[in-house]
Amino acid sequence: MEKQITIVKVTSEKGKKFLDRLREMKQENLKDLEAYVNQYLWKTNQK
Amino acid sequence: MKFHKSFETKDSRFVLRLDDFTSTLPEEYLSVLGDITIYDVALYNEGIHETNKKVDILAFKEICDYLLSFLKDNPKTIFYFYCDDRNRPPKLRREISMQKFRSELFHCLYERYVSDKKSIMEHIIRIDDKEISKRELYIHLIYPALAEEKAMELKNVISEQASK
Repeated sequence: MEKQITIVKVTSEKGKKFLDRLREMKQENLKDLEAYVNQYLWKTNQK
Repeated sequence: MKFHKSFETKDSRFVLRLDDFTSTLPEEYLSVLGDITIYDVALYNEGIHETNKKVDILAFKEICDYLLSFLKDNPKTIFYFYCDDRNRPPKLRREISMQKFRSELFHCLYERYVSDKKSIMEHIIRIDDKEISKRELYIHLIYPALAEEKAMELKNVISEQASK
């Protein structure tokens, strides 16, 4: 099956801000996941 | 809502998180989604900072199997994979960006582990932001056929917002 892809070009600051927001959301999710893992590992190591 | 699941093989330990992304989305997304739930998919690899660590293909297979079975059980779901720029690509792929490397990896995993591509579909959004921020972003949407119409609406919203 052919790869389904949409290509979008950013041409303004508005588009850039939107992408920055998506990146921030992902960074926050990853930080949160890292914190969860550290807590989980810490608990496991205490046992 | 968040789901955590850990995967352990002889060589690796991964933690996968599915994070209900729908409620954190701006209004313009919510109006098109209806009863569809979007999950941001994030993966934590405990050995990610060890440069000699090889990708554990068995762990990836197990993770993909879990994700596919989740989609089968929850057909009104869209997986949202934003290819992030953390870390660097492996030595042999240093000529490409981390985002592009992740995008290629996601697509390879989809090609390899999804046997019925009419039931579970993939759409890639490549965003060229080279002119303003010198970057290129990739978002993969993976969804069951039942959610195709909504996934395409979501793709349209992301494209419109990015190209405004």
